Amino acid sequence: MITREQIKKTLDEIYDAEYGDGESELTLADGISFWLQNGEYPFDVVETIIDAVYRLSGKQRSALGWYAQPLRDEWSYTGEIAFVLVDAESGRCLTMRRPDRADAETSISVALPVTTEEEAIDATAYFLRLLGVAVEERPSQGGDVR
Amino acid sequence: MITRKQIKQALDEAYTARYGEEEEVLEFAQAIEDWFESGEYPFWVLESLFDAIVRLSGKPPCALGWYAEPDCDELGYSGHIIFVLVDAESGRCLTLSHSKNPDEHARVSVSLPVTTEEEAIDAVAYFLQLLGIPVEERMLESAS
Repeated sequence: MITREQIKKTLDEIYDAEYGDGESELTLADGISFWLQNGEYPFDVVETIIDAVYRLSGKQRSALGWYAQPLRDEWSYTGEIAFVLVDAESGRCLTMRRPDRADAETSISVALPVTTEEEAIDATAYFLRLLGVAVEERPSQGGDVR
Repeated sequence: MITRKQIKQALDEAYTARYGEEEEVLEFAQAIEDWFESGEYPFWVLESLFDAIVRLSGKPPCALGWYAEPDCDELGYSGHIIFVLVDAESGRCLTLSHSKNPDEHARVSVSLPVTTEEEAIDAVAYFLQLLGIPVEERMLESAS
């Protein structure tokens, strides 16, 4: 089973290797804060999550097809990223969800929040599970007692 | 076989059904013009394209999964729309194309120009053909 710590380490290693300057150590959390502050297209955040899924699942890049689009409202990025994931070998869309009613539309994308590193770990874990990889659950955060 | 005239009619009807008021009849060509004039996110173009495909395919809406996003560059909308189409019954992504290079992702989307009504008809025809429905070819424009 892959632990959340392994996912965090993988995300940070990939982010630092691809986008770091070789001196100070960068983490994916830095990339996410930069995205949310500067409002530029978060190519680095999206690619890091996708690369971590490849590394942790052991899949070749050609084995999967992705479409990813950060969502926007009228003013700025919402912090959610819409993903479509396809298993290229079978051609099956793994992010598809069929509706209960025939007159409703089938959704083929999932929108996942990526505003913190914990959420990026959740997103990576979500895709690994779609690929049949066992991943440690996120510890419950203990809600308010009312 | 579905003709290009039928596709044009289905686009006009789909646009009218969603956005026409009372007896008003709308033309899809206007939807494209409004997109480029307003510079707004063209949800009305995307929805009408999907409605036309569903109507002409004879399938219920839930039989197709669809993702569409207008492509942008630094200057704004490029006029291309990125589409992903999935056959919901089999779960297969119909716009998937494999890479020969094992180090490259498989491609799940296609990018098609939708800057004129003819291009919109081409786009609908493309998706109908992916669904196995024969469609009339576009006539070659005669060179002057």
